[in-house]
Amino acid sequence: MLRAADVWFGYDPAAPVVRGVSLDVPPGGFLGILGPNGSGKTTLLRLLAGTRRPSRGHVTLDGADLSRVPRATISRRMAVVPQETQLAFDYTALEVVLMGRYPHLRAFEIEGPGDVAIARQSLEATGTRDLQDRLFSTLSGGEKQRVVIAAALAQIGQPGAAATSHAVLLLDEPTAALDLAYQLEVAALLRELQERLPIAIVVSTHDLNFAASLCRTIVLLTRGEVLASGAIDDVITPAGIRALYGVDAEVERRPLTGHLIVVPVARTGPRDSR
Amino acid sequence: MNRTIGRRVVVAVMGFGLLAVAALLLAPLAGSTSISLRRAFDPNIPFTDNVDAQIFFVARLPRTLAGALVGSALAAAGVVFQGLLRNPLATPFTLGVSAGAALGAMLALTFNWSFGWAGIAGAPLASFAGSLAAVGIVYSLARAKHHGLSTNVLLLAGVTLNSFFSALILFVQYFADFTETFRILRWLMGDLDVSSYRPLVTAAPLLLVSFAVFAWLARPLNLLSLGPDSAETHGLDVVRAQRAAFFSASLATGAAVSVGGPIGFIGIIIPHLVRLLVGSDHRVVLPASILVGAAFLIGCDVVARTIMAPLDLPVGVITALIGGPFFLWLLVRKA
Repeated sequence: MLRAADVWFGYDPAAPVVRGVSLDVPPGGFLGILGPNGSGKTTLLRLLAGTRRPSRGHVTLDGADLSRVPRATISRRMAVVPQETQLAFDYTALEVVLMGRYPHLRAFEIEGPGDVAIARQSLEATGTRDLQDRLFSTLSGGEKQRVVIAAALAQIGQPGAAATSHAVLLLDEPTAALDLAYQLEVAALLRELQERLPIAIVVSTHDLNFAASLCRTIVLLTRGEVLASGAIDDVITPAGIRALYGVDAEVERRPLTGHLIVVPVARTGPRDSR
Repeated sequence: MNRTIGRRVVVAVMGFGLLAVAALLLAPLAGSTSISLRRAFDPNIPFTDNVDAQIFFVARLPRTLAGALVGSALAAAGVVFQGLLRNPLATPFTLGVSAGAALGAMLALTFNWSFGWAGIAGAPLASFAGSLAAVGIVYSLARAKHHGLSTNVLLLAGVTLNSFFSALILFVQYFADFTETFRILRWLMGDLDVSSYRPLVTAAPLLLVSFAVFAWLARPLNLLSLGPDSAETHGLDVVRAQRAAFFSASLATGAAVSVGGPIGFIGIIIPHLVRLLVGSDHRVVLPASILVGAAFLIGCDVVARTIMAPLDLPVGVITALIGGPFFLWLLVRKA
């Protein structure tokens, strides 16, 4: 269980960008952090990943405070997929995925057959096995994102499995830089991973429909504070959307898939008109 | 890709190692005067009468070894700086290390500082001190307030310091007389004519320390190319890796410059050439660059000694003449 309890953080201590956020990610959970640009989603994700320390409150993984756990120990359990990955030098897709094994190796140790096997399984799980020898820079946006997700799976994988239970995958706006086709591709991949692997997934996004079609629980974030949280049907409502984005919207259930779908109708006024 | 990283390292080290050893063995034989190895190694001829042995052991061998040390240090430091700054155009001299060294050497040459320490002359010592001063200034500027080492500030501070020190160099040069100016110019061109083993013996331990840190850095540098945030979520202590990279590469550069002066282009062309040949994994790129850098500079020095013999050109001119066009070709090729 990944838990944030009354977490505060600001790059400038006088102006906190995350203000008193509490949330739970149970094993196998699928949480969406939804909010407009600048609402503190990325910072909250960094706090959950333990790469920033809260100025107040705690982030715990199975009860252990992240600020007291060694970085490599956290990294073996939690992996982060950034919005976009640009490499300074050109590596092959397999090399990128093998970098995921870093927290499992000692200094000077090189990847063994077990690590290569886990990397191959991760490539398999994301449908990128055929790309393993391609240079990362030559891949399309969607392919790059799938390879980076494979690297994340390799990072939280243990021998014999591409990812284990109690592992957490954090994704920061994973589709923001992608066009529609790649967005659908990544959404389909995340849904499939969620069904097949015993991992918890946390995804931050400003895309209502992306969150509505994927997540089980949602946290609405605005100006660093939690506006509402809970099961998707309780949170994705016309009132919630109006409060979050200042937009009138209709919320319907798609007959085919049973997912919620949000249709924006008109702008009602300034954001956060609470 | 079926070959594991271990095998790729072994293949690269054996292949490029052969090249470096060949350069090391053949270079002392080349020169304006031809020498007989049999005579040079004949124990029956006293050293004072043995011209071949004198040329071999006093003139050419230390020079070849200096080429190996300086070439390997600058090539590897280039790899590390490029990885640290995530910028393939960085060189060992980007962050002001060489300008600091040049200013130090320059002050010693101009004002004829005759101090020495443990038998090392004033100029190399002053140049090493100058590079340490530059490193210290750039580092203290780049320590970001909140998180880690700001590579942007590192780059900007380094480039600015380079210009600032260059201005100081011109200022000092204004006060130098004609002979001193010539010596300074010669030093700035880069020159391996060490004529003694002393500077090599002094620089070697510093380089060994740097290379040991480079070996540890190989995997962290791979992760850093993902960006510092991603590297950290992969489990890397980013600040520690950046600090280790900055200081070890600066140490190697400072030691190399104190031996041979600021010899340009090796730190940029060798890493690029090696990446074209072996890919980007720093565990292969670093040892390969060390070996290719050594072979390349030894080769350039042979050209410098022989192409206009008996005139002895500064090796920095040769590396720039080869390196400049090659680098431009790389730029155009990338665009």
